[in-house]
Amino acid sequence: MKASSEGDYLTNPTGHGIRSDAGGDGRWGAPRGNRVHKGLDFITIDGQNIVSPINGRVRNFNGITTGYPMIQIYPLNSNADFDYIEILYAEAPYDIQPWVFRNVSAGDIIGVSVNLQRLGYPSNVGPHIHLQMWKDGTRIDPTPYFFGP
Amino acid sequence: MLGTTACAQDLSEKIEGKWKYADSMECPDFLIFKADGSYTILNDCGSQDPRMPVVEKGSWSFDIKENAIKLTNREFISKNSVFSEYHGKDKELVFYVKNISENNMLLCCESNNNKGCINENYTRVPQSSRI
Repeated sequence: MKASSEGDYLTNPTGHGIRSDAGGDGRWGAPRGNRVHKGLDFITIDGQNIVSPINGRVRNFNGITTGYPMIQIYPLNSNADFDYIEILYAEAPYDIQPWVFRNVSAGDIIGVSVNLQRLGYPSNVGPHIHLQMWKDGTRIDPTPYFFGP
Repeated sequence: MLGTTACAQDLSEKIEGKWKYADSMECPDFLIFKADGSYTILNDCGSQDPRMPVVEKGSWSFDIKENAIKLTNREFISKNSVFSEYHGKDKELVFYVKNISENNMLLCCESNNNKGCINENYTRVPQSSRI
């Protein structure tokens, strides 16, 4: 178990698997130019609800530099062995004020997936959200937290 | 050393401005080189305060002999940073300029994982942008 008292694994935010399409591989460590993919790309259906992977403090906002709709989720569980989770490409539910933290439970709706071509992605990139986890100043592999070792 | 220009020239004025890391779309670094010799790096990801997404700042200069951008006095504003994940947290950092045009810049930098000099593409961000 990677995050004690959060259940065996964290809740899948989309209910779908990890993308592997003509536009790229959504697994941790996949190539991105001369860098690597430091997150997981969960497949979505445009407009679908995104749920929280954990019990946590959540805020929705649009990135200042990119304009991407984003979510940050800080675990309520003080024993969690990561600092926080970021999800990209999911906008706030209609009744949510941006930037303001609120408490949610795992499985609660925290966002709505957006069309990636609207954000400038080429057409060969399939619909997905990007999820990444930060710990001690760097991103860590989320795979075991969601799918086991 | 790794520069490709035949004749050394001062590229400072070409470098000044805002540049976006171009090789991936998620969490791109934005580098701002100011004429006063200061630089700022912004990234929406990893920031403790996403409303002020400055992850690093310091001083920059162009070394004609090395054909390189030198970042010095690096100050790390955010504990989390995509830029420092790849480039480490030494107080100085060197980017060799392999190619530069009006809107594109190809830099080569020693990476944090000792894989040698790694090419990085940057595209110019219009001055009119919000950052």
